[in-house]
Amino acid sequence: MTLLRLQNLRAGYGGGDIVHGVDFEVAPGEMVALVGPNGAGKSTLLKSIAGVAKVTGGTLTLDGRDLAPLSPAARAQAGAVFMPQDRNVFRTLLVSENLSVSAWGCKDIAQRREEVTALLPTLRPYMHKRAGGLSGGQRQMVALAMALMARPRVLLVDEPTAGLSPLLVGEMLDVLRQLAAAAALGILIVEQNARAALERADRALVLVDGRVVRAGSAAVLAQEPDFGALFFGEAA
Amino acid sequence: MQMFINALATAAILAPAAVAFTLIFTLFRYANFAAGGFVTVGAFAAWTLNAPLGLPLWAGGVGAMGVCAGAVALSDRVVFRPLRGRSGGTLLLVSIALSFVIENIVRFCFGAQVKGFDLPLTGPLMFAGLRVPKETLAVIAISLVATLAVGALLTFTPIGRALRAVADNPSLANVRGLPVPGVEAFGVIVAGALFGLSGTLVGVDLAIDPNLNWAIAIPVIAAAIVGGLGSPLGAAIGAVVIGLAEELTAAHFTPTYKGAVGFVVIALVLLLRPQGLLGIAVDRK
Repeated sequence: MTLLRLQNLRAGYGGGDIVHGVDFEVAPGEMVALVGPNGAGKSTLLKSIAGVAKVTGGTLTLDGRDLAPLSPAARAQAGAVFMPQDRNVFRTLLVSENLSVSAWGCKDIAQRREEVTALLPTLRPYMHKRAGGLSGGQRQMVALAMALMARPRVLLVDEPTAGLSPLLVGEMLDVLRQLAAAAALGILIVEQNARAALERADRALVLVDGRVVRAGSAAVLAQEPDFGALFFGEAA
Repeated sequence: MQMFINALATAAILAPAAVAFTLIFTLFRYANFAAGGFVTVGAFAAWTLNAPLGLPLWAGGVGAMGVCAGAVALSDRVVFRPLRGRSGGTLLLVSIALSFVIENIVRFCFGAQVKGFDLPLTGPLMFAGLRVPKETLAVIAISLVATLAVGALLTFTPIGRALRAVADNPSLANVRGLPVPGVEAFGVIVAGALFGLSGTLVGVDLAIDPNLNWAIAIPVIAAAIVGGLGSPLGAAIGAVVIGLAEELTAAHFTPTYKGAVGFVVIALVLLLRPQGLLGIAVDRK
């Protein structure tokens, strides 16, 4: 069963394509890692699915529904929820308010908040603190909780461990892995710590210069002798 | 004590407009110097409904809030929205130009005569040796209720939280599924209604003067800066500070210098506490 499907997808920011004809699929409960060198177009690909970058060609569907004509807000409501790398919480709002606004238009906000705090119990102690005053790791958890408030079908996660300590890197990726399984959530993750991401992901795609140069089982890909070369861009 | 009541009356007039000013600044990151122009529009709209058209003042005030909400929304659509993304300085200059346009439209429509509401004459209330006009009490009460209502709206309602979220980070709000243009439009309408309320209160406590524009704009902006731009509660507290400063100046120096109080307070705040009383200090990028 396919959740998210990209066929020959091209995308950019208006000054020429950065992503050149990418094909892949994400299934429910599956965690897919996007790895590749800096400037490969990984974040642009995520943003194009979220509607932040412009899709210039190809098809993009979620549960068979065409996402391309939808605004970023409409895509989030359709279930394609983006978790940006930075500035991903409303700093002047309380954590509880961050969660509430992230379920805009929903009648069952209290119930959703309960569900999300049950999935991420570490949030409970700082629900009434201002998000801007939290540590980097706590903020990333809040950002993840905000994304979950929209009850996503597919979660688009852009470098969730940027700036976190090595201990927290593993913790955050483990949480994502568990979420994918527990909520039958498709997760597409761009992660700077490629080895750690591949250890948790089901499948991986290596993106170089906006093109998928290798795809397959994350575990198999991590064992390939030229993986380091691919990740650092020497095989392009 | 009498001076404190006078200061509260001044603060009551300034507070709704200062909250409106800070709301626009928080949403769009520019200082809208047309604030005084919008307050003047509110005052004349309330007067038109009350004196020539014979409606009760409360209806005139509600009408003025509606007219001002429309005027601010129109100015946002026609003047400011096409310039979104330009620097705060550019938008500030544009707002100054807009304030002159509004001032001259008001003069063209209503002439240069000072107007007054059609209100029955009432004696002041006397207690503890103080003379407090009933209108002044009404102005203070209405302003307090309006300011608290806006505070409650921003804190306790979904649309208020959405407004604060959009003001904090519009691009994140967009990907979180918030209807950013709709929320911004709501903020503009609330700000416009508050300008209209200030205009009505000016007319009740003072007079409806076509030259009101800059006389009210400077203390309104000073109140917002003193309170900390971006903080509606701070703007209300800033209005009390400006009201007190104006009354102290009038009592201990001369009322002539009352108009300069706003400039002096802005200068002091920028020197001593640039983020204002309740504002949050941010690093310059």
